[in-house]
Amino acid sequence: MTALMKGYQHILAMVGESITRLSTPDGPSILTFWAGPGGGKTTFLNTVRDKYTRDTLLVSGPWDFRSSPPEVLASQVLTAVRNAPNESKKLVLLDNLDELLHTGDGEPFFAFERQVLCELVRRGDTLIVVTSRAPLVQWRDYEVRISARNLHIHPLSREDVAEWARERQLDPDQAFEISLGHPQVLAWLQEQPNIPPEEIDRRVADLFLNGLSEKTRQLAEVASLFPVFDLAALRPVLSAEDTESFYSEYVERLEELIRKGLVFWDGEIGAYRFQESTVRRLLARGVLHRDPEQFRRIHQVAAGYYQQEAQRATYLHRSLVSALYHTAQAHFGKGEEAGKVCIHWIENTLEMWMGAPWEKVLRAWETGAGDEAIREELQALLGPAAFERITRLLESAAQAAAPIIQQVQEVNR
Amino acid sequence: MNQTAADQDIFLKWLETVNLWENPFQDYSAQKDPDLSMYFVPLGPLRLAELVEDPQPWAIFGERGSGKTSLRMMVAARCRPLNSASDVLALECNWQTLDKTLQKAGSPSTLTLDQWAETLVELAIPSLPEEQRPRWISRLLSARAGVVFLAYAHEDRSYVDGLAERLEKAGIAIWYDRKLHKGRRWCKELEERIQNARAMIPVLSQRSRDSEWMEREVLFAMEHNVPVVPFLLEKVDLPLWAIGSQCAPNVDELIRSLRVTGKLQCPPRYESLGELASAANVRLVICLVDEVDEVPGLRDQSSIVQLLSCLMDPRLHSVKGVAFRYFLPAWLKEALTQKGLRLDRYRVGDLRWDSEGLKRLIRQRMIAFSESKAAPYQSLGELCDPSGGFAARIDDELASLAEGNPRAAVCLADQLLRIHCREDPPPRLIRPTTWEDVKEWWRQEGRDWILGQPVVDLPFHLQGDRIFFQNREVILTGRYHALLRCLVRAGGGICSFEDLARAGWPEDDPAGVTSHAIEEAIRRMKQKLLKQGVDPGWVEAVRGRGYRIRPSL
Repeated sequence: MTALMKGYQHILAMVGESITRLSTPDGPSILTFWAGPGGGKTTFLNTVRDKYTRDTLLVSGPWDFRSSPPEVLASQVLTAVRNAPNESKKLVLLDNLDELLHTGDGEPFFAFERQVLCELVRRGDTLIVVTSRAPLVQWRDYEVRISARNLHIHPLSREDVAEWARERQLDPDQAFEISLGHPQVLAWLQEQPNIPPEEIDRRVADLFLNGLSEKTRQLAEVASLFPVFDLAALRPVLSAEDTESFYSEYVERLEELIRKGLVFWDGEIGAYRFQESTVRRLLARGVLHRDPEQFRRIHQVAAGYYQQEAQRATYLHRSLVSALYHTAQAHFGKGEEAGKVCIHWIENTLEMWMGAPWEKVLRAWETGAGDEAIREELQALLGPAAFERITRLLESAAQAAAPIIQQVQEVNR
Repeated sequence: MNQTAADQDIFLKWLETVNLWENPFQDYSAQKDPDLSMYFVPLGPLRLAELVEDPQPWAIFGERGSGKTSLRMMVAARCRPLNSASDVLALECNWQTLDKTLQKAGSPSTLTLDQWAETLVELAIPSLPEEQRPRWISRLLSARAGVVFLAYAHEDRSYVDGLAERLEKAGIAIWYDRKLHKGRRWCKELEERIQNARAMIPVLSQRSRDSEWMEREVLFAMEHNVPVVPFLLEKVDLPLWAIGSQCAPNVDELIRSLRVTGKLQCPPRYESLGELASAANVRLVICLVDEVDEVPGLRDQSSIVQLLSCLMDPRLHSVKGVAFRYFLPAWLKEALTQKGLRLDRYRVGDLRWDSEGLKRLIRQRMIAFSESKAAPYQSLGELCDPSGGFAARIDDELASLAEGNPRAAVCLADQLLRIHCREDPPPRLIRPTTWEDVKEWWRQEGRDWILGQPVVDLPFHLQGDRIFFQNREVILTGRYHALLRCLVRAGGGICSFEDLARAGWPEDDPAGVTSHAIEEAIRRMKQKLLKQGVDPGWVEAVRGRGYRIRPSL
């Protein structure tokens, strides 16, 4: 089994589980596996087809919405399912379904939902496995909406990449450092094991930013240095005035990035972030290679912004991770200094955070503000000792604040 | 009006600028929301599938605006007649249905189980197969104290007098235009008589073939499911509407036909509800009872409980093939239990929303109304100025202010957008100061409007269609009566311009009724109130929203 296929095992298991749960009240009927360009969607779908054809399930597809008109595919899908024996469970594979959302005004997507997916979902015997560049949340039909789930095709883990590298006599650590587990970068590496870093940066920019206007590309590169961001955070970095025209202009550029499927508004954190952390890090690495001084300056300004934001204890859970991340990145490559600066900042600011929502703050810290890769990056940037020390400092502050919070709650009651 | 149109124009332009194809929050009442299924957010433990399939009775409790009616409508949408593929038939019973039932019964205390069953049969009839309808219609009609309506050409009057006499001697009560009340609006009376008739006898002759009026009466009867038994006074070519009908060639045959049509079997009793499922070719009939607290005339808790003691009679739940879903205000739960209702015999659901649920609700509407299908909005924060963390916290703050009430959340979001657009031109992003204005509005009036008690002690009250002010009847004509009735029914809540347009101009599209026309009609209505000794100050304008009855002067 290749490393790539091994990396899919946990999501393949979800397909298997969903087939078992078909037609039960909680069983999903549509699984959307999403990833950006080169993220392994089609490879995954072919893996699903091979696995379940072996399991003697009735598999139809994959049908690729990039290569055939939707009305032709609609008819083929319906015919395949209707002609299949009633008693067997069916698996329908649809590749790049999100293409329909980008066709004209997006109506072909809803027409396909109405004409095909509604029928398949209501049958109760068919699991529809879909791939898309971004999670699909647009479903209009209630039945379809409640039976659809989005699952991310994650990049390969360090272990999977190591196995992949060993199969090809490559250095496992170097392969991971270069690719960050992204399947497309691994493919480039396989073709050209000595590919220069700047060539990878160029290809990454081409792959993810093609079709964007020059100004939007620049915005994407700046934004890639932020785990989460909004225009207020980007404004000082872009040295722009707080004016209506700034917001109007940059909102449009952000919308371009959203349409491209690169960034989205994370309702949990209340800010924009890249759909895929790996893509963000690959783009950010390009900025570092091209202009290390610019890289450091942006992180310095951003650190200042988020440290200021973190003075408002009520919203500390939204700013803490960013404040530490940018502070650490501003000292990138300076050994233990990043950790020391961060610890110093926390020790000096702790007393302002008495009223912070500590449960949320600790959760944000433990989860890298909802992104495991950020947490790993922070650990690497700060060093294990400093990371541990910050964790202890935050936990102690939370413990110290607990009786006060309890008192306030009792007074409020 | 010009100001309102200009405001609306600014609002629409801003929506266009931010790529929303419509205001996602304009509908916060499920009854008026045609797009509900596009963004209906299911509540955790309450599963629509169970609500549709379960033969057990359900009682679902929720605060005002917590989504009871949305839930009812979503359940109905999964059943027949809206979903023809379903094997479950839903009978939606809202306040209008209950009001009509009560008007027939007189009061909640005199409502019988069989009368309630009649209402349900009446609701079911349009969904029955064509061939089943006459049987059920006639059962229904036999429960009515209606008479048989004679339609004829005036040239046949002398014959019809004799026919009426013979039928009455045979024990069949007859009504024809000779009995029209002098001074009443005859056209209106004819309509009422036909609608309430047990059957109609069109007397067919060469003269009646030329009577356009008789044809109109017959078609009206057919439209209202009144059985039509044509009587052949002489040999004549049958008119189009009579082709295929069994025409009685003589009086004896007519009497026989009438007995079959008008007095067939016994009236529907509650047990006969069990036959409805097979008549409708479905596995289950579910009766969705909603809006009991909105029935005009039910002014206190005890009368609502009294009504429910009939609607929730345990005998109903033993009838096979029929299941009941009661969507009830949360404040009734305790009262019903105290009255001895065994809630343990029901599956009980409580509509409770947390902040996350409300945020999902906002998100789903943003997705549905985004112009960009590929990258829809998913949060209000995306429309807001990020300075000071405003964009990051708006969804949380709004959900928190809405106190677990979805209607409140939608209303607050609507206000946020509308107040933002008071500035001309409005900035691209909503400012934190606008949110402060919304919170102020919420404190001042919005909260009472959305979450306040629906029943307030007003000097006006309704009895059926009649309006009383301090127990004295208020006599108004046509539109003025309809407008005041609409205001009184709102129980002190605000009637929007749209509500008033629907009430006062029922035959027009409410969008076509200008606010100026409404204001003028209200002004005249107030003058008429003054003439009857009612202080017009009771009717209060609520700027930019509509009108309401003040709780006090």
